[in-house]
Amino acid sequence: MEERLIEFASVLRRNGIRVSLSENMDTFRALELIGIGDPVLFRHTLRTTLVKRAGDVKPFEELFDYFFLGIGQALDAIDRKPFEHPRTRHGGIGGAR
Amino acid sequence: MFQSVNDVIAGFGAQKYICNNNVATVVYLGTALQKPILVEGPAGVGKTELGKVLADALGMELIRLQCYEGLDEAKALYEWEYAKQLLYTQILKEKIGDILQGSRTLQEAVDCVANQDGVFFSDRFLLPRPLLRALLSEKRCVLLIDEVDKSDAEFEAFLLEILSDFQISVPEIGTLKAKHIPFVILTSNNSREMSDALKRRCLHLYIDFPDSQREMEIIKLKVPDVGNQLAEEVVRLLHRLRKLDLKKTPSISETLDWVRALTLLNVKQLDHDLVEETLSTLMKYEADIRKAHQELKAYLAEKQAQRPGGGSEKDHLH
Repeated sequence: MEERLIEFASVLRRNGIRVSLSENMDTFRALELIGIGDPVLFRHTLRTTLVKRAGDVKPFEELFDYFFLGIGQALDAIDRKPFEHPRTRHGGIGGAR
Repeated sequence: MFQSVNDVIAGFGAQKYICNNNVATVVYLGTALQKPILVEGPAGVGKTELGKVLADALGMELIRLQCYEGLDEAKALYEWEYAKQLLYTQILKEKIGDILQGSRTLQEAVDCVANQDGVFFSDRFLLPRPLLRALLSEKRCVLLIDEVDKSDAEFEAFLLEILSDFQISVPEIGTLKAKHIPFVILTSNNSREMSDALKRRCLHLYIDFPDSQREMEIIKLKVPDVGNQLAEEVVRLLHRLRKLDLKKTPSISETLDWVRALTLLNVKQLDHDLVEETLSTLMKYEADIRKAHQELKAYLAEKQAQRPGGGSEKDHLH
């Protein structure tokens, strides 16, 4: 989990949300108290320790979904392989690749 | 002290402050990790109230520092009580004369006085301002630093120092260390962005206006006598008003004032003459009141139009 959190912090940084080392440590300390069982509290905990500008809240929410809920990965996968669907694999339209 | 997030919700509920999971999580973490909480959001969503309620819920004293442009250390931290020092020297004139008797030259006299200055620069003449009071408080307290965005950058830098060490040095006395680290709430209306260094020290909480359902809960909790229909209609109108371009968006406390006034006047629904006349409790600018009048008319017209069809009113709640 710790590695995952560090990775998430670097994803935030790459997207323009400044996260310092001390803030990352705050997240760990906070999660020791809150736990990682409740997804809603987990999200609130990350937000309050990592995001310090009102304008960064929205990007954070999106990146959180992308990173932890995997919505992004799923969409990405569809994007990357648009014609891999079993019904179209052997069909005529598959040839567009 | 709070033991969990739910503990915060219950404690705040007992003080008639409805808070959601997000607010409760941040407050719990702030108290458990002893980190200051920076609360941002539009004016009138209950940021200051949060500090007050936290103090009440924990049964602690609230020490409040209202920030403004030009606020300096003397007003925020401590000041020497110059008038009192002067008064004491006047009263003690003879005694001072005794001390100075042996000295022949001016230099000797000055040295004599210098040896005594510990008397005049002691706790007795130190006038603690909110920040020092919070540090020296015998019991742990809640320190509310209100509208910190109004203060200037120099003050912010100085605040940063206090919030990281919880100690200050008074040159004449020495270092004063906090007896108990206070729970610190900083509020900001975002009139300027606070420095990254300050933000890094704090947990961040953004509070926005409540959604319709929560605002209904707040109204019913704070004004128990309110009728269901009035509360619903007020909330619906308010959410329309907050979307307008107003000089000052109606706050939660103003909403409560208005609902109280309407309830007191025995108004049960918004199509009533008294509604227009009491709008001044909700809006504080003439131009805003005019806009509110138009919006009210539009709202009532829509309500009128819907009445024969009925049923679809619920869809308008959100």
